[in-house]
Amino acid sequence: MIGPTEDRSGVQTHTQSSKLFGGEGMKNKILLVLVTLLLMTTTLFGMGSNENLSSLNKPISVVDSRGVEIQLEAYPTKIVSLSPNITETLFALGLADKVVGRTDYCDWPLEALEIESMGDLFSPSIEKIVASGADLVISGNFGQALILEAVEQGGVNIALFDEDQSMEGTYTLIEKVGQITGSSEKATSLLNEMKQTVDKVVASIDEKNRPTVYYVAGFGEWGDFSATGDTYINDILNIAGGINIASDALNWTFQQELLIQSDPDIIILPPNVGATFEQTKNEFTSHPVYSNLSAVKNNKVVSIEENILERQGPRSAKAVEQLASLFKSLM
Amino acid sequence: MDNSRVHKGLFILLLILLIATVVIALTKGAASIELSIVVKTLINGPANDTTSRIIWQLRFPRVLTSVVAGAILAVSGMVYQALFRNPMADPYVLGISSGGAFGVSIAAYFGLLGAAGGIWKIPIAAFVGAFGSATLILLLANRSRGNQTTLLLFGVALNFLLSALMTLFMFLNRSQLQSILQWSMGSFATASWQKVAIITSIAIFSLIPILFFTRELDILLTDESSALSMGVEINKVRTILLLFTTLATSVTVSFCGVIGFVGLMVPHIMRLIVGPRHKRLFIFSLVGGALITLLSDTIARLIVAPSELPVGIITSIAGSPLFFFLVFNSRKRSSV
Repeated sequence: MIGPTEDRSGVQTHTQSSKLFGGEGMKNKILLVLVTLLLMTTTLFGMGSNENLSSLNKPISVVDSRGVEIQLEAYPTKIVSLSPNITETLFALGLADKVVGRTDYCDWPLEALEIESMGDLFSPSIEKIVASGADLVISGNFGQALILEAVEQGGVNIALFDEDQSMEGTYTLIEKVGQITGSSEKATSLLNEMKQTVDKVVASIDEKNRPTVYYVAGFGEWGDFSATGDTYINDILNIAGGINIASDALNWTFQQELLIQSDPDIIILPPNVGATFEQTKNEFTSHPVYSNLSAVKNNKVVSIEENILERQGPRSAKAVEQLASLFKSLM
Repeated sequence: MDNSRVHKGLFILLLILLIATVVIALTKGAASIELSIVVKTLINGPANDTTSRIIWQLRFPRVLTSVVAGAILAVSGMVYQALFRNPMADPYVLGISSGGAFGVSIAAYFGLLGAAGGIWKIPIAAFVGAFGSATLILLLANRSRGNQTTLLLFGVALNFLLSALMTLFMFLNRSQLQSILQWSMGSFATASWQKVAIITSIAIFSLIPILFFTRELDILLTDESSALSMGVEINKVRTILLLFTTLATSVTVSFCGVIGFVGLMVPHIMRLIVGPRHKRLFIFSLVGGALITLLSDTIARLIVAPSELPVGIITSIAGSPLFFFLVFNSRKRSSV
């Protein structure tokens, strides 16, 4: 960035001053300036490439979700997690004592709350992250691209793990976090356990009796939002034996008239922020448009903890299990 | 005389277009329902089966809301443009719309709305915000003693301030960021018969008086010296008209969010068709605003179904190139 800008201003000075003065001496001076700038830029670029060369031989190498190869001399001993699902994964891999930073949203397991927070999910403090002395920062996908760059400039290694929005994606995420932290073995056994749980659920599904389900991500005056086909929750709902009626839609938006037409068997309604499930349910079921839905009439509006459902982490298998037994009990 | 016959024909054409669009909008939607069934459902009246609920509870009030809201926005834009003697004046530019959006974001921040909003909480918060900023403009309108440029600039500055504050409160309240953002870009998705009743009564109450002031609007816009000689009276007219249009736009914003460009674009297009006389311009803007808004909302519903786009995006995308074209064309014409 620095190189081109300075070059451009150099050229501007050149044209302007040659118009004004046009003398031989001036031309020489300009030439001198240009050569200096050229030298500076090449040195800058050179410095960059030197660094890259020297790091080629580092022993640990993991490619993150950006496709960037993260290379480390040794496994990290101080880790900052910038995403709740990463925090959960690190704890599940037995790395609790290595986590030195989290976000305000990293609230599971409860011991995680004792770790210092770096700020909120979307704009954690870069200075705090760098000051934490971390040798590795792991980020999820929360529009933190600018933060990634800044942290890297602060000289801290940073990896972004934002895999496919599916159960498979969760598996690769845990696998990669295991690789970069030197706990691949633990990751493998965790994954086996999760896959076993999921396989058991999948085997027990009655294919002829799959309920249609609708996940309420937002309702009422704000408009209708649901876990559309491009979301992780959509995959979890399907694996657990449900047929998500919003799976053809995208970007969390869904039209009310389709909800009415599809008239799902079961409605999953996470409690509103700052409200209990009962309050939220009352608000939903008393609404003139929703009150006529079969699921409302048959009292099949249920809740499940939102966090285990939407976080791609070690509790995802449990979410599948819980949903599946919920579906079975209601059908 | 001949001209007026052409205008009559054009108006009938516009009306037919509007009615046709209403019919299309009623029959098309994310839930595919056959035309014959739609017609049957409409004839049979509201019932409790799924199709009937989709048509009668969702599509019909939505179509009517967009028609009435479009009419209000376009006529208000026309009035603002004459009152401020500025082609760029409209509810959006003057900060009335962003006042509404600000009201919603601040109420959401203080937890007054609940996550789902309740049925009336959001409209009330938006109305307070919209009418609040409109009152500020009205107060200044009286103090600025006819200096329209000052007034317009005040509106623009207020608009910037409120937009910035809205963004601030949205970021302080991240969990509802997407909802507020979506709302602020305009949507008719939460239309209901109660809202249709309210917005229609407001439209009748506040737009019909404008019909009695079309001559004054003509004078205001075209003849500066006689406008000045009318003195006090013109100030009174301005206050009355501002009050009525502001009430109407505040209610519209509170039900439908921020729908840009309709108030700006429609009167300009109609002025090119029927000329600047406000008696004609009024009914043309009324129907034209309804047509364009309904068309935009139908596109917003259908283009990414089963998801949905905020209607404000459609009106702005459709509106601005047309606007560029109009400005460019009229400049060329006037320079020739």
